[in-house]
Amino acid sequence: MSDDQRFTQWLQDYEAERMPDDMNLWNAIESQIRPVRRTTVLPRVGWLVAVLMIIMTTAGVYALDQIINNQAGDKGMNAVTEQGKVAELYITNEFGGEFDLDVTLQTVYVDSNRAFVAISAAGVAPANAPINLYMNPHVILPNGDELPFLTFGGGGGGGGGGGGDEEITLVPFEVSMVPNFDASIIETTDAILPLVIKVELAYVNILDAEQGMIFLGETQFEVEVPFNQGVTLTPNQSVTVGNNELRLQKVVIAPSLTRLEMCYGEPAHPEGNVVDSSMPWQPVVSLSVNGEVVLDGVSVYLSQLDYNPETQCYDYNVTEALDSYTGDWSLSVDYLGYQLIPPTDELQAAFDAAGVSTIALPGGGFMIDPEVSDETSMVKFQEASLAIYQQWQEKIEGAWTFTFTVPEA
Amino acid sequence: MDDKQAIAHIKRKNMQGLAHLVATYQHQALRAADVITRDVGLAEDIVQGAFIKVYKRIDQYDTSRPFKAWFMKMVVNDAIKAVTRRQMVSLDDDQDKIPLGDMLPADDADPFFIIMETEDREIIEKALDDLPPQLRAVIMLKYFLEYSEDEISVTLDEPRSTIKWRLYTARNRLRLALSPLIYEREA
Repeated sequence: MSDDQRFTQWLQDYEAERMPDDMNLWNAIESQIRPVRRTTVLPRVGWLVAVLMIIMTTAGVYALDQIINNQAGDKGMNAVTEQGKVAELYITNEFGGEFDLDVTLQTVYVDSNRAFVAISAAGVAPANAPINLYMNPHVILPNGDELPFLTFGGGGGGGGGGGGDEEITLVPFEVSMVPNFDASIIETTDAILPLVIKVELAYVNILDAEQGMIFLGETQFEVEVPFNQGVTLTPNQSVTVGNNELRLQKVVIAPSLTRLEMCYGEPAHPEGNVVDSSMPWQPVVSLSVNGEVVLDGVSVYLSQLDYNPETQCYDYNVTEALDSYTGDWSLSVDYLGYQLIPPTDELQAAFDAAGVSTIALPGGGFMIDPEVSDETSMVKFQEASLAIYQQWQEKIEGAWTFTFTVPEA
Repeated sequence: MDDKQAIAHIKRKNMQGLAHLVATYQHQALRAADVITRDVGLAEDIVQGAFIKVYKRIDQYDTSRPFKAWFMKMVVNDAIKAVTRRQMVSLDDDQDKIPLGDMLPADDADPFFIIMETEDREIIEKALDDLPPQLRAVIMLKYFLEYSEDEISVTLDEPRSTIKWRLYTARNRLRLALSPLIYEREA
């Protein structure tokens, strides 16, 4: 052994004595990081988002575009917000409980096609027992009917709250979300709409997630908000391209969203492709008004509850603010697309390559792992899904063009 | 779980990944920081802070490079900065004060051999204590982590020639500090 080697050995022994193996920094490190992580809890990964992710990978057909739209922003929602049509309420209910929760109904918007609500919850949790808080909102009409979720548009807000001071045993947190609801079932001509907004609350203990979601209870708000009537048209036009006839039966133009009722017989699929017979082809549309291009090749979104296999008519949603466009409309279905479900192994490989942790669901499909489901992971999940899904698409080129007039209000 | 898997977990804000890296590297990092700082408490603070930086700045990590090299570079440089700030010691100032060459004992009286032979731990500790942190860093990297001169150069962001000079200087400083033991042995 050389002198250098002997010095190395001496130095290592000497340091092992000064810094013995039983020293462990983990608790100190964890206590500095945990509170910060917990206060940026996962506002979007509530029940709503979990449902959305499951749909995407099992039914597959429409939810992908819905997610992409969600990521790109919701122009209709943005427009009505900028126009001041969203009711700013900021009503806080003191829920209390073990996390001393305050639940705030921030804003509500309702028109003939959709409703959205912004809700937040703030509270405190022990620094050594961090939680993820989940909210499940319900919008209930005066007759007791509940608006169904729309799995597109909108988006959640960010978390916020306290820091990582080790001396503080209770750490503040805040979560928020902006879910969308299908408002087409509302039948009223009144300018003001009474609503009950019920919010169910639950949490997951991050350090003991195996306990699962623990229900905390619910709180509700009784409010009256403006109802933004839409314009309903019935073009009832049919156009045939090749062997495929499409009929545009009804158009409902509301400030935040336009709904198209389209009917067509399902085109056949290429032989060998495995398809879900309950899912229709999806139109990709363009719109010109008075000769000016307004939309160019946008996807339209099928609401979960709108599919009617008997009439072969479908309600498609355009998440754009089109209510200011009056005059001569030329609405084209550029092509019909059908999203095949990619093989599980390809999806899994795509998620692995993207570094996204997922949970394989019984019966097929994937869900993003709620334990690590931050915003970055969700974006990666979407991007990885998009790349694979684009490889598994069928297309029937059009265009089917419908013309009609939208009168001045 | 390996380092790459741990990094992937951290990128997803999963603390299991960080727990793995702490378990794997904390002791080596603590001891490395202690050689430089000569202060157990300060070394703990530095390593703790380095792991927190790993968690918060993981996107700055080039995954094509070994994690250990990136992490130890952070620890070493943080340790040097911490001691420099605390002691307000300047390597250049020190060089000016001590005319090395004329005061050195014979080259064949290797200080490291003396270290191995002596029971006088206090003198050895004082010899390490008296080195400026930049020289303790090269000693630590060379003899504790057993880095090559090229690796030390990369870790400290200094040219290889500077590293060679610092190693030479550090060994000579240790010889000087240990000269009483050397002379005692020769006598």
